[in-house]
Parts: sequence; C-alpha cells; structure tokens
Amino acid sequence: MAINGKGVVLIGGGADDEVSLLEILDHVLNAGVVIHGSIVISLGGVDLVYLGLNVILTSVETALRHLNQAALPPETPFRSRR
Amino acid sequence: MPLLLYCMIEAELQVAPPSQGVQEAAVEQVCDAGLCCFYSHIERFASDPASAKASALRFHEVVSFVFGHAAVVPFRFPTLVADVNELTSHLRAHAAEYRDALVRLRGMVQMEVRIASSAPDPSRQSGAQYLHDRREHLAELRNAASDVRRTTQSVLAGWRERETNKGWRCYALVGRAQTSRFQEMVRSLKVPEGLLLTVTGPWPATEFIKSESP
Repeated sequence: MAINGKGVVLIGGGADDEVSLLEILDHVLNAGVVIHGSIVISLGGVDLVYLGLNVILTSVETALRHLNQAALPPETPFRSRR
Repeated sequence: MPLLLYCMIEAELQVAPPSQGVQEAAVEQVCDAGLCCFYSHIERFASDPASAKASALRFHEVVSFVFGHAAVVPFRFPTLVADVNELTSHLRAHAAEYRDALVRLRGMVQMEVRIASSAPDPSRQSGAQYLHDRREHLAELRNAASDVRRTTQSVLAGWRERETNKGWRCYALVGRAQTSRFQEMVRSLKVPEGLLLTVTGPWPATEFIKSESP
C-alpha cells in the first residue's frame, strides 16, 4: 500500500495486508455473475437454499442495489437483466 | 456432488488452471458453447467464518491466476450448481452474453477508485439542512470523480461510477499495460482537502460484463 501524502492511496491486488484482504473479500463476495441455482447447502446445521446463502454473504450495499434495481418498473432502462 | 464455479474464459484460449482450488479440491474445466468454465467438486461447503474466509481467498487466487492469462467472467463466491449438466445448461443459455463480454474485455482490466470524505455526516438539525448538506457532500464526491475521469481520459476504454455507502466508487476499464499509467495519473491529482482517493486493481472487469445501457 502506498500513500502519496496528497490524499491518494494505492492498493495492489495481493493479500499482503489487511486492507488488500478486505478489498479481495469485497470483490469475491460482491462482484461477478450470479446463478440463481437450486442447491441446498447446510450452514450451521440449517439447510439454506443457494440464493439465501448468497444474500447472507453479500454486503448490504450490494443487496440494497439489487433490491433497488428489482423495484424499478420494467420499462426503466437501468433494470438489471439478471 | 455440487460444483463451485470460479470463472469463464473464451474456449479458444488454452489456460491451465492451478491444480488445486477451494478446500484443496481439484480445479477442473468444462468447455461448451464457446466458453470454458473452471470449477471444483465440493462435497461439503465449510461455512464457518475461518474456513469461508480461507475458501474465499483461495477462490480469488484461482480466478486471479486465470485472469493473469486471459479476460475472465468470474462467478460470485460462492456460486454452487448441482452438477455439470446444470452448469452446461447455464453456459448454453447465456453463451451469447458471456462471449460478447469476453470479446469486448480482451486485454482489459478494471481499476477502481473509491472516493471518501472525512467531512462530518450531514447535519440532522432539520430536514432541509440535512438535504442541503447531503447535496453538497455528493457534489464534492461527484466533482472529484469527474476530475479522476478527466485526468485519466487518455487511457480509459470505459467508465462507470455510483454512490455507495462508503463514498463514491468509480470503475475504469483500461488496457492491461496501462494500469501503472492509470495509477500515476490518479496519483498526480490535486486532491481537495478532506477527500481520500483509494485506487485498487487490476481486477477482472466485472462492472463491464454488461454492455452500456443505450
């Protein structure tokens, strides 16, 4: 991680410090394609469908974004396609 | 046995993935409909926090390895499907969309700039004051995003931005060879007092998988 002293922080893609670790976790949990599958997995002894687990592991920020998109009327051009 | 999906690449590309992935499971691939998808058979997904974190990091390592050789469309962790048939069905159903994205994103990576303010939260003394403060706060972040975009314009192949609960987040699509140049350009910016710009990447270009809305 490098700070230029003028308000800019540069972080690489490696997991060599805590900030990078958080960035990586943020990306793997919040970015990428989602398949609405039907797999049932067990979490703490309770069976959860995949979609449920996905919501649990998704940040509030992403969940709210998806909820907001789902709430848009169908003719809105910004509506999510998936 | 369920499959944990990592990412997809164009089928014409030959990328040998790491031999082991999440939970030490072998990384395998299936190619169909012009796409190759990397996955592991996961008998039982360990979901306690420590295991989930380790699995997420291993997932990132596998995707990063493939991404080091080619444009990828990653799956969100943890994406699980029942079997190879379910996976190939999904690939066939979305093949045109994924192939289009992979062609558009050849040689591209995503750099991100998060813009946060150290200013106090908008005043809650009154509704009007709150809205006024919030409007000014957002304008400050938006202006900073515009500065970043303008400064890096010469290396940008795409740009997206939006407000998040951690500030303003900008996504820049740049060529693989331009990441250092992008960082230097952002570093050269005169950042207004009270703002912090955090630059991360390169990442797979997940914000650009869908083509721009008309």
